[in-house]
Amino acid sequence: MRPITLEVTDRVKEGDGIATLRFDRSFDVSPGEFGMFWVHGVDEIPMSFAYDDGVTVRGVGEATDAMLSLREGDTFGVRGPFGTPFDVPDDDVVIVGGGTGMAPVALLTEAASANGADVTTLIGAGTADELVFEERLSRVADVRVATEDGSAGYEGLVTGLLDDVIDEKGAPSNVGSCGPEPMMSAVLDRFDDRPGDVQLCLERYMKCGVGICGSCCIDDTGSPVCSDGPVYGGDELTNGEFGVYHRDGAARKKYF
Amino acid sequence: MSVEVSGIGFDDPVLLASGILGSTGASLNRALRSGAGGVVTKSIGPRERTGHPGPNVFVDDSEEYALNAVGLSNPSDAFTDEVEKVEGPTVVSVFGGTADEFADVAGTFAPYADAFELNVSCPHAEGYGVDIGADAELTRDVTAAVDKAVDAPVWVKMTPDVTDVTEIGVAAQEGGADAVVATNTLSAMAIDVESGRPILGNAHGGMSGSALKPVAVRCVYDLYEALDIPIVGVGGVSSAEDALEYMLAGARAVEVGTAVWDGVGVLGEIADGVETYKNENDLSHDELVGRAHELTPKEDGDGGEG
Repeated sequence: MRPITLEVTDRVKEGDGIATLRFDRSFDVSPGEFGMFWVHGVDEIPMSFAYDDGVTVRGVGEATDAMLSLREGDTFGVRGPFGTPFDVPDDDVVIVGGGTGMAPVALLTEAASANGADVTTLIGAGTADELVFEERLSRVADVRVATEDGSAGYEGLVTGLLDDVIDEKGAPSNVGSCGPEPMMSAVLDRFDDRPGDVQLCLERYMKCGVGICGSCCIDDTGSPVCSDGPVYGGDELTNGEFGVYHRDGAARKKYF
Repeated sequence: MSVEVSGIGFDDPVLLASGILGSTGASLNRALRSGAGGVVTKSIGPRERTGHPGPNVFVDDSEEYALNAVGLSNPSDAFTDEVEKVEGPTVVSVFGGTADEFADVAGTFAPYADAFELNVSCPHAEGYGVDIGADAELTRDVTAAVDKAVDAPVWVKMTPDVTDVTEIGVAAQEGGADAVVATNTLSAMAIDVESGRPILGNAHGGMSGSALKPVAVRCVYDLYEALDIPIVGVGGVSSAEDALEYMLAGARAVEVGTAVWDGVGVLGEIADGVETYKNENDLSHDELVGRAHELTPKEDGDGGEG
């Protein structure tokens, strides 16, 4: 598809260097699906949808900084939604999110809740200023937060909070996670006897978004994350690059 | 099903095209597992490049073509770690700005390459690609330099953006090419009407997909008349019928690119379809290749019906 032009209808500051842009068109989005967002004159980057008409941006580079500078009435482009989304559970699920990974986590939390699932969502961040969607998700799920500096909720990594929640509630039937890859890898480690019950949403450098160019293929299956993923079962990610490295725009390996 | 092109054997005549899912050893192996008879790597150059700003690629809503301006992104020598993992016939695509650069890159990859494909036809990277391949003399020089530097067969990938593709093909053959590949993408552009901007970050790009096929089939047909070396057809192959069209025009094998966006399994489906056609029509591969030329009405010089 060619890019579609969108107009910013609302901009909400979510935290330190984080904002949500709502736009003038709704998409049929499933949790985990992404768009190739085109900041005119700058670049095109993959980002998960955070709403069916919105995206949550954290400034981490030229294109995301340019996205953050957009205001109501400004326009940008998008191709998508693309990708293979989460299977939405209907029994019980623990969802673990952190950083920019909160966008698909939010949609998954809402979709699982709407599906009748018993949802516990854990949100991790460095400090309280970086926590997003706590209020939004508390309406539909048992939300717990963890901050590394202890400024809100559990003090420490969100995987420590996950251990506490498992002690309290027992092991969940399903797990979903999106966030920094070392975090997701640590989540998967806790279920290494049943990795297929853990769904993980990956971020990789992408150019085409539709399974042609190969920029996002992962080792050692060669699977293109943009079309086979970004959501994979943990059993599809063992013995590969998951949690170890990714590749940059020149296909050079970058270790986490 | 196996075929031979320039002395290299392939399990079937359907290869993965350069720049398609070819950035890593694992992704190239995935294409081989999906039925490709061989793979052509992403083009590798003398220096690492991250390529152009996005958008880099889009498939048109009509699904008849894709435009891309990736910009020859590549990890240069670091790609040796990837290509050494490939478990099948491997054609290493190389590019450079000069004959010496082509020869140097080919030399680096000589231990891993069953054949080389020279990218003298990328339409969207200044100083590279078509800046060489639209010039017969430069094409001859680059081909000769690589031919001298490596023992493996040298394939030269043609641009369709020239008045007479056979002039470039003949130059490649004179330079020592063992095959030509026709064609790379066609120089193209698309503009987003709502924003008024060229869609590709580089503005200019290359068109691939079904819309390219009649242009590239014509190139293959003309090259078959002009050359003694084998031809590999590429451009808009998404079905066995497309592949057969190229073979009837004179291609010994085809490469598949844009069509993998429907799934990499298309590679094996095309190979199976070609084999079925040969069996049903009782044609050997040699009889199939170029058959359209025997069936083309010849001009007899009497003016006919004009």
